Amino acid sequence: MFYKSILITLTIITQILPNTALAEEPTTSQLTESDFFNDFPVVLSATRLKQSKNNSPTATTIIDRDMIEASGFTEIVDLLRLAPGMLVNYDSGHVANAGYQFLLDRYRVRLQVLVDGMSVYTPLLGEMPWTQLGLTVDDIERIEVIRGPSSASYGPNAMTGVISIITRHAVLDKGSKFKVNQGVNGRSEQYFTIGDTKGDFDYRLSLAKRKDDGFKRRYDSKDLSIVNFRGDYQATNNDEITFSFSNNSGIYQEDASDGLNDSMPEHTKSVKQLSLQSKWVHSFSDGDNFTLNYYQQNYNDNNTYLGAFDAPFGNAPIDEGAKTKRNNIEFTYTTYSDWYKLTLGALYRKDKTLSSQFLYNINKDIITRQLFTNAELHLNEKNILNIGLLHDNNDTGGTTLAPRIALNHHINKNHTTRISYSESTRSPFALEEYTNRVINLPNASTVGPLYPGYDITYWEDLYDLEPERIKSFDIGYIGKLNNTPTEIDIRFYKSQLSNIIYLKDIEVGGFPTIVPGYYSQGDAFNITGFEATLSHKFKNTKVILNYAKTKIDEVKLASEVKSGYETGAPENIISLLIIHDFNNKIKGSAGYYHTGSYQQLCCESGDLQAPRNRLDLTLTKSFKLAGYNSKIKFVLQNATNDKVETRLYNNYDRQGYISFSLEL
Amino acid sequence: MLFSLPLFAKLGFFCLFITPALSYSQESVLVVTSSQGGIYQDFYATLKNESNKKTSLSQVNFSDVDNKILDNHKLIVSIGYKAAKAISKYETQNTVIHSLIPDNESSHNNIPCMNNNCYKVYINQPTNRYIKLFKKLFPTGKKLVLATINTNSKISKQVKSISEKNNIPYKEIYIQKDSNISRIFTSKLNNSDVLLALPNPEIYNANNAKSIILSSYHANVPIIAYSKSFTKAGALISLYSSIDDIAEKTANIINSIIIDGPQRQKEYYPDNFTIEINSAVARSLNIEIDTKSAIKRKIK
Repeated sequence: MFYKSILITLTIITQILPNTALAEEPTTSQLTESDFFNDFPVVLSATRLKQSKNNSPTATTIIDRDMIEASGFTEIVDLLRLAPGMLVNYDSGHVANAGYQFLLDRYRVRLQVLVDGMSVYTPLLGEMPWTQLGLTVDDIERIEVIRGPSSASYGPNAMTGVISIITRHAVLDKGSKFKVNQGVNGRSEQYFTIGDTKGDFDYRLSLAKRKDDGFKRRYDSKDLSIVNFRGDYQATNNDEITFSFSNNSGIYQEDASDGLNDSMPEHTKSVKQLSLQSKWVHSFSDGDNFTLNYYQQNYNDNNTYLGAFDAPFGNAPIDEGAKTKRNNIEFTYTTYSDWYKLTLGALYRKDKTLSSQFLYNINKDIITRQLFTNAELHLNEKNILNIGLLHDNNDTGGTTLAPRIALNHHINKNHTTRISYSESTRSPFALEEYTNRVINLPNASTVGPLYPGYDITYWEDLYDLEPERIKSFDIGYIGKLNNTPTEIDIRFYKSQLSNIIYLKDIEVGGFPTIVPGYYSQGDAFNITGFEATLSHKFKNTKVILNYAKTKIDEVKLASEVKSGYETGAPENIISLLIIHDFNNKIKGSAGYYHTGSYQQLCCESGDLQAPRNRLDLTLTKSFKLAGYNSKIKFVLQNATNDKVETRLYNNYDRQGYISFSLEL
Repeated sequence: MLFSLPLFAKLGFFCLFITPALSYSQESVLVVTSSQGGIYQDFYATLKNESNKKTSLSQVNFSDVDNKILDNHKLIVSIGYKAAKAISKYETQNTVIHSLIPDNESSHNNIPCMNNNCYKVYINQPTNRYIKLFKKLFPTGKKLVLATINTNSKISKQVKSISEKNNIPYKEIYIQKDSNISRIFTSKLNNSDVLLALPNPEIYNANNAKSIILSSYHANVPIIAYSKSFTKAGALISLYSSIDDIAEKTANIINSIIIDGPQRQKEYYPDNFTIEINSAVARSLNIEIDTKSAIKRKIK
């Protein structure tokens, strides 16, 4: 009875107390002095801010949300067409390549690609798995394309530039959103996003299913399931912790792409990508901040088939799969004053790669250690000096130093010039440094003494490779025409590349189909070029025009193999995006993309692609459906049905899709 | 008649007609605070420093006030919303200054003035001050945007009217209660806009601030805000009065009432204000901005 009374009393008290307390508090809608003097959490900490283009040591293009939506692109890699000098090419419907200024092959991407600061190229081949990223175009807030060698800030692999993909903060996607894209060529895409705030924790969960049939004449469809989670926890007014998780599981059709690999029959492969990231940003009250970023990136490429080799070798089980795991931890501290901004940082990375046939019996981790500093010094009102230096030590490239120096001169508030010099490197990837590609051919011993056993090594590790190097000199101008919304960004550059790594064939008679070889290096060439961006905002129309002119010359070959470096870059690349707001909730856009003649060296050797032109059109209507915000979008890609004959048959036919989205 | 009265009655009569100031000078000033620590203590300290040295100030928490205490003080100063609300319930006929209170409809309803001896010192800035700031920062080419939950509110009408008078392009973003704020801002803002964030807890609060700041930032829209912490969080610039500014203004009014008697003006905004700039945001949005002192000089 006694305990029961206590319980009843406590229950009554707990029911009454909160009400009593609330009665003394003003309602949340009542404006009080606390609204003026209480702290807001720091939202735009310096790490989230875009560096002013005028102060940047390197030419930078920002592809913002407006451009992303207006482009109608559903592949992330295609968005890069909106930056000057970026080349986008497809080896198949699901193997996309992007390069800045030139595109030597699908592997060994010489760009650092970051998703929220997470480096996403694969450690085995140095390939950029654009289709396997664990996010969709809708998750992206903006893409910053840093055009020019940037190893001083981002380490090896930022050899020609950096593509930094920044996803949307979870708080921007509250509520639920459904989107369906349905189009020709088997395109069927479904997206679902849900976001909410629980106290100081904002989260967004995106789920997507995407599939299409690939190119018309190829066996190259894809079927993807993507999960992306991002949570932003505002621990205190000065501390924000971001958690993210992504998973991309895909089934891909693979073919021999017209004789490039005759032993490979049509088959399917599966790739799973999994990444986890946790980032802590602490902003000090004086504006300084530090960031601690840890992430893990896993790829599991399951690609086995029965290789059909010429007689007498016959069939052999081929495994082109690989498992890679990257663990990375990075610390940066940035301090600001009126006349300088200084960033200091350190990074530790461990790349583990296992591949039964590419790295036969090889089990080596690649450890990378970096120390870096970048300083932006405001010498006076008109001049800014940027100095950067990165010390890198890794197991494949040894120790390198990547310096950068740049002087930005503000002629006045509307006009800035830039002169810069930088050196960057690319360390050999696991396959280049440790290559030991072995296949098992049961009938090999019948051929003769050249093939003594069943296990045939046809890519050998003969040399200890050095990092590839680039030295680049750049002059730039960024201007605004007399306070009008017209902006110009111009860049002239000259770069010298050396120590280029290549796969050298061994001339051996009778070897089956795939030519044996080893990785060597020593080729060198120069690139000179000019790039310009002109953007203008009319009342309801925005126009962005990009132009790039590139020339590769002074090729010096270490080997006697004909390289074709000179044709590895198109002379002209143009992109034009026009976005128009018709005012009555209708928006339209037109995107024109021109790529001059060039050849992608790995897969189209000797096949010079004719110039390509592509015109994409979109029309979007926003409306209310049962009180909910809805959009319907019509997208027509390659409207002029421009076609170029290549060995890869990698032409987009004229195709379109309809997109419908509903926000709840 | 007068001369036939006893001496004490004559004196009393004289006192009745002599300036009211004298009667205040003989009374201490009761300062009623909404809480005992933090900004209220700072306010009280400044008030004490800036008040006439002969004025005696005593402090009490609003929860300890009763009719007797109020009746013993001819001049009562409430600091903060809670204190003002509590004092206004007593319907005292003594002179009351409600300081550190917001100027909005709800505040006017909850803190009524019961007699002619009631004064208010607001935390807010006069709207015109923000418009001047906007014009100084963006003389041409930008549109002033105000988010509101009530397009007929006093503040909406004021901003609209002053903008029109100054030929400033103006638009309103209407926020429905319980709507998805980030989506509204994302869809309505474009890069020729400048968001004027005026205090409204239904729009700008710790929960929404992140989404509003980020939406604006991504649309390249700078925010002109009303508090220092808003600027620190990510607004481009803020114009606000500090606790000291408001306390000083309140002390001036106390001094005036004591010396000169009742004042004709009943509502005051702080004269002094502070400009806070987030230069990192300015750089990031490519906005050239003067120094704080230069901006302040031009607005004054």
